[in-house]
Amino acid sequence: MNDIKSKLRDFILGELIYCEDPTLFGDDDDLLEAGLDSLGIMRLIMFAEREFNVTLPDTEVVPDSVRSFNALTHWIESHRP
Amino acid sequence: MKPETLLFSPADHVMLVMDREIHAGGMPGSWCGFGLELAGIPRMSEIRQGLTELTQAFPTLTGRIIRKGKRYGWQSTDQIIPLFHHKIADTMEEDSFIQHAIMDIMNSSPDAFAHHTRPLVFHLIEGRQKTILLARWLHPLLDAGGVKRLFDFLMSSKADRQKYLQNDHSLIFKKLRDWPWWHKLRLFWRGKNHNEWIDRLNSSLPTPESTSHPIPRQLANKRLKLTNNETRHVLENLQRQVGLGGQSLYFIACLMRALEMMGPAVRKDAWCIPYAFNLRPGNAPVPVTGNQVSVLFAQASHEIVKNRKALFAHLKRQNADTVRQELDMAYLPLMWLGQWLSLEKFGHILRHQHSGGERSSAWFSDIGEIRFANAKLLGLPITDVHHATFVTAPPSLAVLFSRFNGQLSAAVNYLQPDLSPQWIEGFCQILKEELLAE
Repeated sequence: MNDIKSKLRDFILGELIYCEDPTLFGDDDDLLEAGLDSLGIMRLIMFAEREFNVTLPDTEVVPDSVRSFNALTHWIESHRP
Repeated sequence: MKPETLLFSPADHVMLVMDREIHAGGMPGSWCGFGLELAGIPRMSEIRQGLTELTQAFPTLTGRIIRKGKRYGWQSTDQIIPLFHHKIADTMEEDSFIQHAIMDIMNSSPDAFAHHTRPLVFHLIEGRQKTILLARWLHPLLDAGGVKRLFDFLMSSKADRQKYLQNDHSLIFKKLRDWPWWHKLRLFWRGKNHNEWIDRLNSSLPTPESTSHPIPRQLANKRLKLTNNETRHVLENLQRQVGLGGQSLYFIACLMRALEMMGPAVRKDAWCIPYAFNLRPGNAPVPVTGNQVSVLFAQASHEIVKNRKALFAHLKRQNADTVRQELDMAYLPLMWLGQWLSLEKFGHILRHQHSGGERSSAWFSDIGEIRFANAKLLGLPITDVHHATFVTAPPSLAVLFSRFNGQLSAAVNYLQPDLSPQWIEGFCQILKEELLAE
């Protein structure tokens, strides 16, 4: 679980959203408010599928699944074999 | 003091190529406009002061284009960003005056080379109750995201402005520097193969290809603006049809369907819409100057476009495959290599398919939700935003989507006489119906 979250943090805070001090961005802070946009979400899903060997159904790509690091981690975990 | 020179990034260079292509079609060049509508009239002296500070912070903004061998770049000058004032006459209707003023400014035509010496100009368009502060810029200088950051800079306090001054470097150069040579080579081949894959279907156009002759053309603009309720409805639709990640694809699908229903002037195999992939992380205050985008393509045959559900599924799958194969990054090495070609040759490669036809059926951009650093500029509330852009002929049509204050807008830019106001009227009506359809 922590491994997933840590890789997600590196990818999202490195490539998709800006945070002056990434250590201050909490696991429950709102990623959509922080600037995660439509094409960024597509890149995030592709990254997660490749990195964690999961398939994330389109129907579950809703704000509640991607809103925070904790939500994302939980969503990905629920699809791991 | 010797003037400083800053070489173009590969994305800036692509925009210079498009500037040349737009000129070749009988227009003033690759000019874009981004205007803030203000509820009141700001003091000219305060705007001038802001522009002076902006020039000091980003000297490139008053640079002139120079050539260095095969490459191009900006050379700093000692100018200040100019500001012009346009005031409504007593007999004029306000909205009509503002719309005409924006289009007159966009179409004003500095001679072929002079426009390379003043790439950013501000215009204050003063109505009775409202004012537009319009930035008109030459695309190699900035992308729309950069201009938004210029406005953010102007509306920020001196202390807050510091964040726009850090690391104003090209993200495209950074990516290219970070990749080992073998990765760049692999991406280059992927990008080249992807272009060939796109070119297996020839693109249809809304206007005849004969429009490429350099006849006098005027940019015109119609704005499709949805209410808050309509916008909420579109966002719900979008969520249901393509999911949270597919916002741009939803707009592209609606655009393709509106084009299909209007009927192509040149009917070939498919509609092909290029769209920008933004390298700036969301909400990042930097970089401000330069273009920080690469390009992707959405393509769908006429048969698929006729079926709304099938089109959404097709574009989603295409985008997922594109990202999965890293094709979103694959154009960076291609664009880098293109800098060593002549502008004319590179322009031909960028625009034309193997069959010789135009690759892009229309230009498209999803500027996204615009949230400024402050709700006011110089003490006046920002009530609306306006966008405009030139486009090559053909396709002679560029649609820019954005959201501001909870309202979705499509700025439909078109070239007259290639497309008529009546055609655009019908197109906008269908586009709106498609955006709102279940």
